Amino acid sequence: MEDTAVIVQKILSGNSRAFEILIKEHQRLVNHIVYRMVSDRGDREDVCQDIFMKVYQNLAGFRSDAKLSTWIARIAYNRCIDYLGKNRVSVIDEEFDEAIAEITDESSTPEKKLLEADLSRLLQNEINDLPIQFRTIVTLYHLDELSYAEIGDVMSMPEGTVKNYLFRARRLLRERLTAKYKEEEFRP
Amino acid sequence: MKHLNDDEIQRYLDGDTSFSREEPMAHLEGCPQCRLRMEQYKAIFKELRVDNIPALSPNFAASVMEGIRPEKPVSIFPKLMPGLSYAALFIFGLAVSIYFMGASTLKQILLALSPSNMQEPSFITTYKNYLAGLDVDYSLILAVILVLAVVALIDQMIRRRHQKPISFMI
Repeated sequence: MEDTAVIVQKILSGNSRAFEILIKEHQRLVNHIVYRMVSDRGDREDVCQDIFMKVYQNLAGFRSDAKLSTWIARIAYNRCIDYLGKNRVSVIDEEFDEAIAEITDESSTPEKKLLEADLSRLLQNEINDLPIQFRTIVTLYHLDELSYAEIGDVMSMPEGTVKNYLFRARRLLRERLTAKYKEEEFRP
Repeated sequence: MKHLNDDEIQRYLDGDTSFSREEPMAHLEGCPQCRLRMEQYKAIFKELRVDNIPALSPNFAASVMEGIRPEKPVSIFPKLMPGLSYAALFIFGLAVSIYFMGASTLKQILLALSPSNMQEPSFITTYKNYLAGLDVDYSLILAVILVLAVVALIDQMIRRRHQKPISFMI
C-alpha cells in the first residue's frame, strides 16, 4: 500500500485514479458508520457519496501526521450528525435510559423469540436498538478495530467516555439477550 | 472471592493487560455463574466481529467519481477549438453585413480599403482585379457561413453548460 502522504499528494495534483483507490480503501469504514447512524436505507448511499465529496473538497487541509482513516471517519461521523440534525433524530445519551427501560418490554414475546432464534440475527437487531453513539462505538471498535483514542478522535469525545460507552453497550446487549432467552439457553 | 463484575469480564476478554488476570482466572474455575456470564460475553464479542452490514453497491466508487469529474462535453464537433467558435461568430457578423448591404457594396468597400492612391504592390493590384471581376453566387456562401456560425454558437453553449467547478486532470 502506498504511503498516505503520497496518495494525498497525487490526488491534490489531479490524479483521479488515486482518489478512486482512496474511496475503495475506505468505503467499508464509511459504510459502517453510515449504516449504524442513518436508519433510512434509501439515504445511506447518498450520505456515503456526500462524505467522499467532502473528503475530496477538504483533502488540502489534511495533515499528514494524522491517520487518514481516522480523518475520513471523522468526516463521516460529522456528516451523519448533520443528517440526524436535519431529520430531528437525537444522538445524545437520553436514549440510554429509555433503552434500559425497554429491556423487559413486550418485544420479547415467545413468537418473536422463535423468529429471532438465531443469535446472530437477534444480536444485530439489538445493536440497531442501541443508542446511536453506542452502536457506532461498538462497530468502530469490533469491526473496524479502531482504538479508544481513535474512536475518541472520530467522535470528539474523551477516551474514557468511549471506553465507558463501549462497556455499557456490551453490558446492555448481554442484558437484553438474557432477557429474551432463559439464562441457560443463552449459552454459546 | 466475590463474583466478577461485568466490566472485569469485558476487560478480561478485551485482553486488557493493565490488571492482573490470575485472580479472575482462579475465580472462573470455581464459579459456574461467572463462567456462564463469561461465555455469554464471548458469544457477543464473537458476533460483534462478524460483518453483517450490507456492502455499498459495486459501482459506488465510480458513481462518486462521476460526481467529481467534469462530464465530457456533449459536443457536436468534439475537436472544435473554442477559438474557432469566436472566429465563426466574427464571420457571422460579416455575413449579416453582406446580407443587409449587398455583395456589390462589400466589393466596393473592399476596393475602397485598398491603397489605390499609394504606390501599390503587384499582389494588391491582382487582388483588386480579382474582386472587380468576381461573379459568384453570394447567397450560397452566405447560407453556408450562417449555418456554420449557428452550429459553432450552439457548440459553445453546450460546452459551457457542462463545465464543472471541480476538475481532475484526466
